[in-house]
Amino acid sequence: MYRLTSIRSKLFALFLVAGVIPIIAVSLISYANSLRAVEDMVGNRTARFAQTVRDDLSRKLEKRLADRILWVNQPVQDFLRTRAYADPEAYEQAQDELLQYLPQLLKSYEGFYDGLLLADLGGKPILRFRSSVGVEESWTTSITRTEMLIAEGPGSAYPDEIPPPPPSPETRTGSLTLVQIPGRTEQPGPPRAFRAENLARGISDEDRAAARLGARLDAGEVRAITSIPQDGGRRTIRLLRGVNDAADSTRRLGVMVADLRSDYLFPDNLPAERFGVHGEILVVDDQTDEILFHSRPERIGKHLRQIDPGLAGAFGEETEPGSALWRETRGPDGDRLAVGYRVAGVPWTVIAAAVPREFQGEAQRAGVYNLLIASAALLLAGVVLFAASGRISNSIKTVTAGARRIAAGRLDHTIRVRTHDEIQILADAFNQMTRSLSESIAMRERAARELEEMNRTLEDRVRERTRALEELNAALNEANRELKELDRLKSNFLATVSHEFKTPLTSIKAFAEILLDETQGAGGTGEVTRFLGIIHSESERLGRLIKNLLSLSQIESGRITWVFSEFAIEHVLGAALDGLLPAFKEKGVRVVQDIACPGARVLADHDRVQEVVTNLLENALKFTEREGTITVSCRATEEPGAGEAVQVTILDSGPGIAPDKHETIFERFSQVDPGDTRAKGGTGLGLAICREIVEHHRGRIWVESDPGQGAAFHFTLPLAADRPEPGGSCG
Amino acid sequence: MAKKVLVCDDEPYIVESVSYVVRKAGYEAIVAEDGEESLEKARSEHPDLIFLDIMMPRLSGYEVCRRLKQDPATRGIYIIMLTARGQQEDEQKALELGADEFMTKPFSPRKMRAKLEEVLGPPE
Repeated sequence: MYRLTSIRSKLFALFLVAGVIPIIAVSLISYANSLRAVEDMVGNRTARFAQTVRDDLSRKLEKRLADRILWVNQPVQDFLRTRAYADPEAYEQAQDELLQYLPQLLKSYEGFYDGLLLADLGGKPILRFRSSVGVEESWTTSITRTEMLIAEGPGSAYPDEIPPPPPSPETRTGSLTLVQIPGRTEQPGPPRAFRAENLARGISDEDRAAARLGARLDAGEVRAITSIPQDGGRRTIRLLRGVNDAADSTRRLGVMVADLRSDYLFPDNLPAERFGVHGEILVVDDQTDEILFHSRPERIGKHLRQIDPGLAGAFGEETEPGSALWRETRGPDGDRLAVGYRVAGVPWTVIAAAVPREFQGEAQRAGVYNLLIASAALLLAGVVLFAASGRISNSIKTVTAGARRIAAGRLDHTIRVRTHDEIQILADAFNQMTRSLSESIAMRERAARELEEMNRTLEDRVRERTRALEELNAALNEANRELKELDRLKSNFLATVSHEFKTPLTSIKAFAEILLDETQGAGGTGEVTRFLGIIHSESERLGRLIKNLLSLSQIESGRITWVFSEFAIEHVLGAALDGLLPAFKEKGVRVVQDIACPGARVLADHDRVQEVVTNLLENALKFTEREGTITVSCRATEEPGAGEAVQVTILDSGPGIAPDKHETIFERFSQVDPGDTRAKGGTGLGLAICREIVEHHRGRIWVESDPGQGAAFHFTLPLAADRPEPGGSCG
Repeated sequence: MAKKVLVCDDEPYIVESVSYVVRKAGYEAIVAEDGEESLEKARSEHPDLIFLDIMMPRLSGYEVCRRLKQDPATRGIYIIMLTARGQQEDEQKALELGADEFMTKPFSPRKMRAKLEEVLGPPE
């Protein structure tokens, strides 16, 4: 489906949906309605048509006819009656009355009649009115002169049968009086008499024929004679009727022949145009088929059947007077709707015809105009909408373009929209945003610059610090080196010191021993021997002290290098014992060995373990009295947390150690009895060294002793990896 | 011909004491007081046994031992390093350099005599 992607197209779609479609629908509906309305209108018009024909035209016509021809006023009646009854006296009176009444009569007839002829019941003219109008425009214009001819004398009364041919004027009996009635503008004067020849001039053959015809008419019957063209384009319609006695309607009094002005009967403003362009109004005499009046003047006087057979055929039948007939006929311009109205009183039919299609056409045209106007309006609306939407689109485009530009970096760009609507609000908001953006960017840039500045200085500072740190580091390294050096020196120092100590000691001990051997060999005096012995043993003690000091210090400071190897524990024991054998022999101490686990191997530092054993043995030796016993035993054991181990025990038969000293004796420079130990050549370091060494091997060292029961020193060492020993397990 | 023992040590008293023990045991004692003299005397006197101290000026005992052991002429001399330095590594180093034995100071003259007899055999 085509997707609407612009506001303009969206608005157009909206316009279509919300505007065009309803309008077109409405237009179509109204067109349909208008067609219906046309029908209604035609119907209405038809009804009004009929109404018009009946009311406006026919009835008015009837009224005029009634006024002018269908009703005879009293003076005329009297005149004719008296004349008919041949009552000379009454006749004279009637004549006088008539003459007196004549001005009124004529006034009332003015404008309507071109002429009026009264005849007796035989048809002989007795009175003639004639109007001559000066300026003829309509029947209301003034009459300048009216002539009235009166036939003098009683005259003969004709029977009702067809009257004989009129006698020649010369043979007429009686005298004629021509009465000239002055017109409106003139003052009334006495009647003047005219000669008889004037009457003859005034009454024409047609007049006589008409009078005679009128005499033969039935009571109440009115006959119309062809409309007669007059001077100046006027027409009159001659109407004949027999005048009967009002008291006795069967008795004929006389004949009235009236020349009514056509334009009075059929006023020009008969609204033929109301019946459309093709509409027509006509009045036709049913008896003679003569067209007495037609909205198209050229047709007046013609016969309807010849001119318009359709209409003639439509209204050929006899109809009731006063009734209107509808007929639809075909005409030269299409289907026609015709209404025929039979006039009451005269054998006339008023016909009005119209072409409904004209109205339809009008209505259709109106509908089409409607549509066209609607279309034009829509088009206009569409154009306006197009333009307006273009404006909206444009303002949005302006905003979009502005936003793009701003996005591209031009933060100084202001979006200009002056449409005073939401888009302007949007644009203003945009501009505001841009401003605040650019401000914040400016701030950021400032901050960035500051940061950069700080960075630079930071870098400098960092560099400084780094330098400082490097210097410090160098200094530290130097110090470290110095410390290491110091340490090394210290280590060296200890080694050196011990070495330095040992050097003179070596000489002392060597010479002491040499001298001792010399004197003993030479049987020297007791004192010399003894003193030499003391020197020798003290130098040995000093040596031990130095050795212990060095050893302990090394162990404590971790400077010692442990050399682990696997070896049989009994070898160490044996080596230690061997080393001290002379001492044992000298003191007469007996050594008992109880190796319960021969071949048991430990993973340990051989020399250090030997040192431990030697120390313990030396202690034992120290504290065992002469002829005492030292027992060295070794057995397997299970150490909690360390697994299988060997336990070495050195038991002496000395004085023992009080329980409260069992822990403290393993501390540096602590002795059971300081005085006693010193006397026995102890250093106070031995057990401390032993503990250090044993504990480094994750063994334990402790003493079991009671005063007077000797002392048993135990230490454990973990066994080397399990290996089945030949000789079975330790017991 | 008496068996010769070269005693190398920069401590005069130690030299004297060891020499005394050597002579008392019946052997001939030659002395050297520094490393270089030790080398010279070893090469020139062809001793049977040398007591070699480690800390000596001019040439350490290690170096003397190494050179002597490298020199086929002196390789056969029994060298006993005699030193106050009793560390494990000292002994290790000495033995690596070719020393035959390692003895710490202070020494026991009795033991020394026994050792002399053991290595050299009885004096003539």
